[in-house]
Amino acid sequence: MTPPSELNALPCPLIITDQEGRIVFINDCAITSFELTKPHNLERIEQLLPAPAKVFMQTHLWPMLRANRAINEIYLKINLASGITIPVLLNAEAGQFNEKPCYRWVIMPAAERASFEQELLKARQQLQEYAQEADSNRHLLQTVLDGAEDIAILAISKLGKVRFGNKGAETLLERQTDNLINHAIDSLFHTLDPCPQLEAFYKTMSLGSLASKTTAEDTPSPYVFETNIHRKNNTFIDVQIQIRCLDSQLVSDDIHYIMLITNISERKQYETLQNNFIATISHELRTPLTSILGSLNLLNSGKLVDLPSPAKKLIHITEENTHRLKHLISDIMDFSKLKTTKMSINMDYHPLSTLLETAVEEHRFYRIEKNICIIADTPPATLVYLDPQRFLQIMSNLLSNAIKFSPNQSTITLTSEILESSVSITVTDQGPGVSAEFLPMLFTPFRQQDEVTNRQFEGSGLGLAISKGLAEAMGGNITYETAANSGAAFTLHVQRNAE
Amino acid sequence: MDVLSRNNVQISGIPSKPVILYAHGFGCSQAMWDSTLPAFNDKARQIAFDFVGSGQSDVNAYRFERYKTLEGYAEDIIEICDTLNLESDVIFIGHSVSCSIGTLAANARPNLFKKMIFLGPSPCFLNMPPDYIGGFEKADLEGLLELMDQNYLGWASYLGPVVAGADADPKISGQLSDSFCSTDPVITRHFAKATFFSDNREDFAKLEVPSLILQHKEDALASIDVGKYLHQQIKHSTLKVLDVAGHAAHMSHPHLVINAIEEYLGSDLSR
Repeated sequence: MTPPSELNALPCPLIITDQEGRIVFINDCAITSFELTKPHNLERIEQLLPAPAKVFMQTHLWPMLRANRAINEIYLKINLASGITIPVLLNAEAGQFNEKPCYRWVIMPAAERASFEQELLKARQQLQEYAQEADSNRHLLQTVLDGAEDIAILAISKLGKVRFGNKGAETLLERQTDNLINHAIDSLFHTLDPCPQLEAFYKTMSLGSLASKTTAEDTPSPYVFETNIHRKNNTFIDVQIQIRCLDSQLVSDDIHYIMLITNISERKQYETLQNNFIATISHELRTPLTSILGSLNLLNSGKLVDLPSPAKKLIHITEENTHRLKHLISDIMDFSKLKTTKMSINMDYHPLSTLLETAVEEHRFYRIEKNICIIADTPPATLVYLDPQRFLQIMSNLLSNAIKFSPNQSTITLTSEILESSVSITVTDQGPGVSAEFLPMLFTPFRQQDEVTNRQFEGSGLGLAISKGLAEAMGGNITYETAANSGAAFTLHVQRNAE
Repeated sequence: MDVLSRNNVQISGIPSKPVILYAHGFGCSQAMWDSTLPAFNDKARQIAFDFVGSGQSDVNAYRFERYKTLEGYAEDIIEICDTLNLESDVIFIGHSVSCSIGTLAANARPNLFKKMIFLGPSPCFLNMPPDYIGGFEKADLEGLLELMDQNYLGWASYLGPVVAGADADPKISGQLSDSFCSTDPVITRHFAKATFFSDNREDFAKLEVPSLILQHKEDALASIDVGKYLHQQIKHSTLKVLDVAGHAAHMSHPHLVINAIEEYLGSDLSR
């Protein structure tokens, strides 16, 4: 038998009753906790309970206690002597006291536990509400994204796994969602022609976490390019692909990139139609121009008829403008050919020095008028791999631009430098340079700086666009930077070797 | 519908002997009669059952509309008797709310029961001043529903397993979800409402079956005054007060209940 002194020392309220609930012992902690007097005047344990708890005791607790000999973790309420009701947690079990069968009731005041439990239940409800809200938001987002049926929207992980694809992605890539999610992006579609931008992007991802930090930030955002992708039935469609690298602060759920694929086949068809139309009409325009120029030439020569001086002057003006018209039509034809990729390029090895000499020589007479001096450094003795005709066309454009925008009695410098796999040729003038605002449009067709006021400079606004197109067609490029003297410096890169 | 499995009907004793039908009270199951049954096993054909929604009954058969009032439970009793082809001479022993349910059944089938024994009956738990004191105010019974909610939905099913710990005796954790009591908290709540908010005083007054009222001396649910009131209302009734504190003498003092039953039935059992 446990001596009462030990039971009194227990840090929890303990009441011992006989098998009918008559109290035979109350420990000190119970006396204190339930504000009882000592000696207490309680006869039965039920006297501690408010009415609802009394009923619950009869309907549930006594039957359970008798059947199972123990009850556990029962939430109940107890009346204190002061009339206040407090929540308690009740455990009871059958045992022996003074060698007689008894029930031991451990009754823990549970105000904190009760409020804690309420909090937990509330938190759980709140969580369910949040979950519902999140679910409906997700549903809304999905609906909106799926609504964009003609654009494929893909969310891609750092290592190139597709994490999300909308309905448009299913349609455009001809795949079911489950055949999309968690597949590697580079396995989802194939381009008809090699696409360097896509390959660069795939490379970024395959390098994984270490490299992606720097390369991803290097990726212009958004990264936009056009290509074409294979479809079933041996067809292909033209697409525009935009890749956005997400702000690292927004990155969640392992989504690092958003790829938008837009079907631009229709636009491409219209563009082709338009370019073909321009090419045809330019060609048709040039034929009569040739005969006009021939006739004017004959008239001007004085071999047919001796014209009075004012008439000669008029014919000279006519001839000059007809040349400009022819030049303009040639530009338009070149440009449209570039666009329709009908331009023929004959690549071969040629010595750089000879090409540059020819280029400068061609502009000798133009520069005399403005008394402009072209200073060319000695070109490195190297072969370059290019189409000489197209190269001279580009150089002619760069030099004539430089002359056009140079003030009288100024200098144009022509420098060349051998790089690892290419040669760079830079034309620098002492003109006004290109304004920062115009820079983005520099290589765009039909654009000239200060268009309204500056039509004094003749030209179609196609020259640089054509030059850039030609340079790229030869595997090179043209870049611009403002020279030290604030003039313009255009650099043409050409290949040294066939790749 | 198989009524016998729906109500988990258990038949014991001797088939040729008089039939005793045992109906359990609110909160538990026929297990409450476990101490009583052996005493009559050689004297009677004993039928115990669980009300639909209690014990091991078929919870799928529970219909909220049917069991909204005690009449639905009375139908359970009648259907069990019909299924067993019991038309008369059944001895009904009910505990607590089952006394009201048995009375409803008896009034619906006047010849079904030969005698009825009520243990701790209360025709109405609510106070209906000035004529009647059931013992409880509405707020008390709503407090009971709240306690049940806390124990069924709060501690027991939510925190219970956490609090009890992994090594807790599985027999004593989550007891309220045990088959011993009702398995479904929502159903139990529904039963509690039907039990504690009903007023069957008039039904007892109409009862024609000779009855024994066994009242506990100190019963928090049904006081002696309630027993006396019933004794006045039921025409052919006997009132006996058991010297018991509590509401379930058949569990705490089975011998007292057995003696009282034997004494009351007397020759009915020695056929």
